[in-house]
Amino acid sequence: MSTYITKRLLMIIPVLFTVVFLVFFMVRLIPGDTAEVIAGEQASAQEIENIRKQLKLDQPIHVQFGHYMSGLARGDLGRSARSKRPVMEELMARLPNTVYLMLAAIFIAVVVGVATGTISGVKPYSIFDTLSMFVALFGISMPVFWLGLMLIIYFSVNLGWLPSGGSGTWRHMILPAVALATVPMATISRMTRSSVLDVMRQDYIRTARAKGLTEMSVVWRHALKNALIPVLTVIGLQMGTLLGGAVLTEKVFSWNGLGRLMVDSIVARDYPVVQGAVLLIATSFVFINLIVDILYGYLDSRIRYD
Amino acid sequence: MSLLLIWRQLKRNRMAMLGLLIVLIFTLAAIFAHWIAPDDPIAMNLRQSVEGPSAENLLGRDELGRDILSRLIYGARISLQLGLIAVGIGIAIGVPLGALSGYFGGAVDMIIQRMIDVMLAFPAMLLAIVLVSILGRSLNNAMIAIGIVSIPVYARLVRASTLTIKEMEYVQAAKALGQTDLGIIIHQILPNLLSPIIVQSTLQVASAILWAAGLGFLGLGAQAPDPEWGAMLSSGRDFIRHAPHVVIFPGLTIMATVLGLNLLGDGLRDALDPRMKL
Repeated sequence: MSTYITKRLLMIIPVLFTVVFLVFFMVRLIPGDTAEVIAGEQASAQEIENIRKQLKLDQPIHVQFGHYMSGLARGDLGRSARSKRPVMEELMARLPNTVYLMLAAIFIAVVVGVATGTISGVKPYSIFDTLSMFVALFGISMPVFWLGLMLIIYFSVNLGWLPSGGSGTWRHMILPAVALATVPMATISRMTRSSVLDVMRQDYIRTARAKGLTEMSVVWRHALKNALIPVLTVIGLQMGTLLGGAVLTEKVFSWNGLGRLMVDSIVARDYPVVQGAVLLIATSFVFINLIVDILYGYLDSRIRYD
Repeated sequence: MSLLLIWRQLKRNRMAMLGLLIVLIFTLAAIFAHWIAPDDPIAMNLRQSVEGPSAENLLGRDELGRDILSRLIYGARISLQLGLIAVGIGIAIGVPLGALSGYFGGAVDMIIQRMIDVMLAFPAMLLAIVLVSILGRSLNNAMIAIGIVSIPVYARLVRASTLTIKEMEYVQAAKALGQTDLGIIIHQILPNLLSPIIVQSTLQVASAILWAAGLGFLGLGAQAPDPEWGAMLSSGRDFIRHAPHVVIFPGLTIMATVLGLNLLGDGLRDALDPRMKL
């Protein structure tokens, strides 16, 4: 196991390096003069020149890269073109909000998805099963930002129960978390159903029943434990959907997170912030995938890594 | 498998037929938008801003007084075209990469797979956003970005199947007969990959439409006054308190299209090969 973790850690080094490299080139690939683009249309020649100097765009590309890498090593990602504050500070101010939102969404998706999927799997073709599969089908076909808008119309505008946007209290979190949870919830529910259905046909379930265990304890202690391994795979695969969805959800609910910061910065052409946000999100994604992979190994001893 | 046989299989699947019907309706709407749409999709009429649905305007008017139904019909043209072309880009690059990777193995495989790994290091939506921010905000660039994001799906799918097919006896026979590597890939391997590629593409067009709507919503895709579904949701957002119809209908349209494609894709998968799992 520890050799596997080491190997897996070594494998992400080239990937991370390429991500860092690509993000560096990202700003340099913008068509036209980068400094002019960042300065905006009304900028004077002097302002453009200042930006060029500040971003070291007047230096040879390898010098620029060296500067970028040494900054990165010190946690220095440059300064925001809009707020003039260090990019790192801006990112760290928003990061917790995105993490909370995602954790809440994962929690809802797993609890509801596994529960409905299990009931469906134990009693396939029942009314509950048909209904929940129908809901899941709509869930994966719905744009997450539209669901967000519908939740706002119903729960904020019509009923006035919850705030329509902003961040701060737990009440602000409910609607965005539910919206973000929907797609993973639907996928987890479908996967749990087919996995439970499969496990319920196994011999050891028949044995457990023959021992005289209650149906409840057969499902809880024997079926679910084995059925959840493929479900975990799906949860891992959903992390990308969740990160992408978070960007849209944050926009809908004016949630003060990383995704919204990134999109607003793209529109405002604040490239230092865009670079920092992309770097942070992509790096987190690589590590999340690593952790998910390692977790499989602990949960399923049949998985062998050679 | 012959087309007739696939059709017979598909016809038995009611959900798939519903999906096909939905997709057909939207395709026809897209093709004949000019004749079907009751009104000009970009003609403004500020006096009738955010008017609710009525006999005259079935789905009401948007914030600039434009007929929403007409915009949705023209929007079908944008979304379907974008979905098809984006997926076309993904196939055109991903399939050859996957075939080369699986057929030759070794260093070629290694290099191509590491490239794919890097693309997969970004969540799909984020990669599309990054690409659009480099290329510039426009509908065409959104299409290119989504096309690029689709490459890994095809590269992985084709590579895995090529690995199995290249060991088949008929491939060995072709080799023995002196067919070139390129000839074998084109004439022996790719025809066998047609079914999985078609199934994947149906589902992939659905994803492309969702991503494009997402980019449009963020203001990174289609720009005003294009009647793109995601952009319509974005501009209608400020009016949800008083005129929710402005955002309800575009969203329902996106959902119906995506649902139709998903149902059709699932049905095709079962029809082409019941054992095939993607």
